[in-house]
Amino acid sequence: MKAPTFTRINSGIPGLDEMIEGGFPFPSVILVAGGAGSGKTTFAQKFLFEGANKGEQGLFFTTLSEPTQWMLRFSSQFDFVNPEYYGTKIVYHDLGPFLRDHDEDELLEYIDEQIARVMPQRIVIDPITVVGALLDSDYRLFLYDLTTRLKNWQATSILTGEVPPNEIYPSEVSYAVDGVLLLILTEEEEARRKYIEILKLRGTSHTTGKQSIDISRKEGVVVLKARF
Amino acid sequence: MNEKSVQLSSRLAEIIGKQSGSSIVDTISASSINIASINIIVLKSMLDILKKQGIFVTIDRPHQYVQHLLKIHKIDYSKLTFIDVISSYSGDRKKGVPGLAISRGPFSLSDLIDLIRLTKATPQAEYLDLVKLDFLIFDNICSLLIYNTPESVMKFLDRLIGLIRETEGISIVFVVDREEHPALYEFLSLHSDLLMDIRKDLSMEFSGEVPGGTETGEHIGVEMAETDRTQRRM
Repeated sequence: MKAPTFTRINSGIPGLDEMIEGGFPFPSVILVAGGAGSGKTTFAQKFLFEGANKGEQGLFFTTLSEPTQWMLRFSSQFDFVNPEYYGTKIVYHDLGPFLRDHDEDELLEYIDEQIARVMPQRIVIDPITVVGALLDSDYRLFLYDLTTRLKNWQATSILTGEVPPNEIYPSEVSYAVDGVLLLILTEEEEARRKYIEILKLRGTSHTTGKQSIDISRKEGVVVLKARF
Repeated sequence: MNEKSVQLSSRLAEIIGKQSGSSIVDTISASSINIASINIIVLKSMLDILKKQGIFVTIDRPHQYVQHLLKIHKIDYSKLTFIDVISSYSGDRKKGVPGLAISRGPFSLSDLIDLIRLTKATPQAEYLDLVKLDFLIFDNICSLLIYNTPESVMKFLDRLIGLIRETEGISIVFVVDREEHPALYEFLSLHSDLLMDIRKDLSMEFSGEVPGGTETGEHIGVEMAETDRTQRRM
């Protein structure tokens, strides 16, 4: 039998699709992990704007990183951002207030309701890692339920994950998702350098090893090595 | 469900409701990533507007998630029977549940055709609470190509369409990405009474035996709110 034919969607990140057989599997859940300033939110925004340009619906959940209005204010500086998509092709939803007063089951139901209302093909939760600290129950069980639900909604989802300085990636989330992409910000020869590394992507023959990236005002996150 | 989706479900109900014939085969072309949404819109047309009862075959996800989605959209699915093709691999082997049959899995196409035939032929079957069936929808038919060869899927469809044609008063609506699965679309288009094309912005056009007397083969742009007129073929 021939290999399974997955539908794939473009990541929107120049140079990345060539590393992952043309795009992210649809549906799937992908973790984009990195430290502060590594480009996680920019990556996620570009992913949604890429879809919106193709007529797809996007849904962006912010958790407890930055309130929606501030995130939009800063991201509006990128050339790829089209303000006409705000609230239409890309719906933003701040989970922060809800997270303070509700348990994990209520949170899952609430996320479900928002997805059903918008019916997106692309979903972002930015960042997922802070949710674990707020939950009383088993974080891994919550992640399993969340990722299963996200895929069953027939969407490709990006979860961003914060990585503390002494860790490589958020391991609990990594087991639950279909793909793990690391955005690495490191100091080399007294200069800050940025890289992307694909740790895993189920059903995909992907490039391994670190690839240099840049974050530009025009295109957001750009994979350099694959471009030249 | 947003306004555009509601408008589309009304328009689909109008078109499908006017089709004549003892059995109907319709094919909708849509982007792969929109098929799940389009199927919900078709279900709204069939269940909410046309008040029909039918079978929904779930291949991409377990039936519970579709039920959950319909519940959130306030679509009454009490007249819908689910044939769950994927849950047997997750250990879900429910029996005796009204309105639900679990197939052996997506590799077992002969089992699936038997299950559909049994559902239609024996409405009083122990695990089904059916009196009459009006339609059959797959979510989604393209996914069978992940688990089976194209030849076996075509053979399955040939048998299925034959079954539908032999059966009085039943419609089948396929939703297929013709760009991604051109051979499958070509096969279905040869057997379809009506071909519809729904784009990502939910604008639509159709061809075939168009209800209302329009000539076969003519493409018609259906007026939808907020449709980008420049993208429509007339």
